[in-house]
Amino acid sequence: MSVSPLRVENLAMRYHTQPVLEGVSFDIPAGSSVAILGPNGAGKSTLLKGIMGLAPLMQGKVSVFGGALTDQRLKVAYVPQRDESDWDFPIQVMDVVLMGRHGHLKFWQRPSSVDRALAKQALQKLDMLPYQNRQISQLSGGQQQRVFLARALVQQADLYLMDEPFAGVDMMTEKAIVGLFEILKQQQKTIVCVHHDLNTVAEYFDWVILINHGLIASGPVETTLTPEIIAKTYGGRIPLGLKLGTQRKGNGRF
Amino acid sequence: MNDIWILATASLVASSCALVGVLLVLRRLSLLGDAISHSVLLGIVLAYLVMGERSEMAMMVGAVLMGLLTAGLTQLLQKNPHIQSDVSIGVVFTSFFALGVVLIAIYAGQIDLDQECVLYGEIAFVPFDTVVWGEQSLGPRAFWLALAVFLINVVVIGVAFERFKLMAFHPLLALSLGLSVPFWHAMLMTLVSLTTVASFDAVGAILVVALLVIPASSAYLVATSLKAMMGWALVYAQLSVLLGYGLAVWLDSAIAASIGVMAGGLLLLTLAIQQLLKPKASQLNLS
Amino acid sequence: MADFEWVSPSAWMLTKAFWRFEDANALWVLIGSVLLGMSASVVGSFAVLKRNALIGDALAHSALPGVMMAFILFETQSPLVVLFGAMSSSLLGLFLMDWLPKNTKIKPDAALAITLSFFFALGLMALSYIQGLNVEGKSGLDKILFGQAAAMLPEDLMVLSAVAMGVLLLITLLFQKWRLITFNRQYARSIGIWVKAYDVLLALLMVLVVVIGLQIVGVVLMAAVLLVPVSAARFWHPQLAVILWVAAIIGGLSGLISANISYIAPATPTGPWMVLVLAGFFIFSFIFAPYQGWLVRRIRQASQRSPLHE
Repeated sequence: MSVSPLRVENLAMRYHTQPVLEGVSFDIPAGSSVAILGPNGAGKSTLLKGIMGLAPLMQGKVSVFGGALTDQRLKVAYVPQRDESDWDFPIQVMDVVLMGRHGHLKFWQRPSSVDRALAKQALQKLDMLPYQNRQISQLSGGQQQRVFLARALVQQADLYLMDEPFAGVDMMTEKAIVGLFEILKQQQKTIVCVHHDLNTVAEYFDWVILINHGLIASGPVETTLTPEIIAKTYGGRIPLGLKLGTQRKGNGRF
Repeated sequence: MNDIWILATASLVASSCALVGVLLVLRRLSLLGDAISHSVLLGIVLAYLVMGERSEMAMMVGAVLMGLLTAGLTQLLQKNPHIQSDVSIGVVFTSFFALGVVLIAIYAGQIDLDQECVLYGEIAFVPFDTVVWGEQSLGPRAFWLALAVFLINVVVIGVAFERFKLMAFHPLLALSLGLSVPFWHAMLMTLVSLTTVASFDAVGAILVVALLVIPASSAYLVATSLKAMMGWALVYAQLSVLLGYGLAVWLDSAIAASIGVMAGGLLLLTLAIQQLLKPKASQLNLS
Repeated sequence: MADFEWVSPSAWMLTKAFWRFEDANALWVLIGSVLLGMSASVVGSFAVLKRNALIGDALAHSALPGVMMAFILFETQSPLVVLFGAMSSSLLGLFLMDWLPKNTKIKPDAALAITLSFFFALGLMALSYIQGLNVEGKSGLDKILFGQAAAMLPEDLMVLSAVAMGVLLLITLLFQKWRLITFNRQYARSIGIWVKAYDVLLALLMVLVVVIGLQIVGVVLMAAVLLVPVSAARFWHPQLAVILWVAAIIGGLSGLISANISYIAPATPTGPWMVLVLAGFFIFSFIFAPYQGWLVRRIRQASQRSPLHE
């Protein structure tokens, strides 16, 4: 457990010609659950895409479990933002989840009964097994998110990168996701999420990375999520939806 | 004299296409323009069959009806969640065009149209089909048709220029300002259909698309305002006609096709020049 | 064919003769048309699902100058030369369509229309140039505009059938990967699938199908055979695997029917007939298909409104 699951060194990225991220470096401990926080347009999703090699890096280095991502793709699972997908696509829940097995399959192979069993287990963990034969367009937003999480789960990775899994989901789904985090943490897996809701950070995560075009802070929730650092990240404005009462509760707990 | 008539007709046709094409390209309706220019064939064939003879008036009415039907039908199909816009366009125009070609094949004896002229147009024969008034020949029929449609385009676009500008730039804003967006959309489609039917004789149904989209796109690359874009489109259109005619004489190839090729050639030339100038421009910005 | 009659006894006789397979050439035309219809429907499905339904239209139009150039260079219409010429210019068209929106202000829809009309104009210019030349073996070149199945030689049809079968086989083999990429591109890349390679392969298959389809369907209407079957099939079932089967059946049937028509009326172009048959299938599916057809949706709506279900 000495090797860090994810280490980013001096990373810089741009969107077209516009610089989005500069000089970002951090390191996270194994088995932790990490929230990436920052205002809209700060480059949170871009950072995740850069780590996954889905968007080009201008500068810097990403190491996963001490090596290059390309050598250990199977150890990393990515959950894209829900609204980046075509939910009218003619496909059923089970088939979407089975996509997670393709990293383990050769290009001519099809999912086996073992893969199917794994997919069923994953759906079970997210309370989605009854929906396995549904067309994806018939699901609610939260259910769609759970399908994506189940798909990441069957990848049997050690590091999970999720782009806003809590965005626009119902209470049921939020509970299911938190439950999933518990299971993953028990198995010593590492979770990295782009997150929006400051109210729930302390409850769901134990490590935070705050960015706003550059790195503001990275560290344990207890010591890092202070009002000063939050103000610095969000440019002095208290982000929408943050209730002061909840924040006090968070502070009180530490 | 014949050369002059051919050139004048082609020039008018290309000008109409350029003006309407600018609006199509800006509203990202190039593909709908493509579709309408195909569907119009069915309108023309039906006009022939109903009238039993060639009649410009019937052809124009048939073409406009078919053009509006195409635009309307594609919109209707898109209401179904399983049909995207390009699918609806593809389904409608291929069916209409296919029906037009099959009707031409079946009624070959009764229609003075064949697959050749659907493709190439008959611009080389334009001078031989003249309007005669009394004893006096007034020049080719196709020329007068092209002139009439060109004038309609100029008047309509000229009068409603600001409306079209707003629609092209921001249809939602236009809607929020209380403009009747569907009406102006239908108006544009009517102009496209009229332009196509006038061009049909000269350049054939398919090359109309080249004249609608290519000069307007070249102009889009260089112009900074809507007025300038229309001006540039007209310039590109005239150059395409002149150079294309020269090319056709030189290679003894089809006139309409050669005009289309030159339009494309000018676009590529413009692009090449812009690409060559590009690195210099960015250096200037940096310094 | 001046007086074509729908119910002429000779048409019926010809149909019967066609189905007794007395004419070996007609049998080849039948096999070729059915295989072409099937492979085009299946390849076209992925283009439609990628929201790029009209790309086949542009690819088909782009093939025209290649065929003509190949003839000018080699003065032959042997199927492999035609295939080679058509493929090279289709790929050039594909490149232009991809390059324009990425490197200039020109939007994707205009790029498609520009490519389509420019290459088509080039092809027609070359065709008219060839017709002015004094060379042998130039007759029939114009048949690729609207297609004329009846004029095809068994040799052409054998090449066509082999290519179509290869395309179908490859799609069956790699179906799951393409489905994954089409549904969720970024995710596919994240699990290490070489997305670019699959893209290029699918584009190549598309070009191949378009090119072998030229002589049956023709340049002008090839788009319909690629996009109509899957669009109709989406009304039948929610699942992609089934949709592809339905699309293949629709494509195959339309190939079969138009081969029959082409036998009865050899002078009429095959492409438009095939498109009309496809349009018929589309309208039928739009109204009567059991999954999302108009009728079923009306019944569903009505039953939802009725108080019995509340």
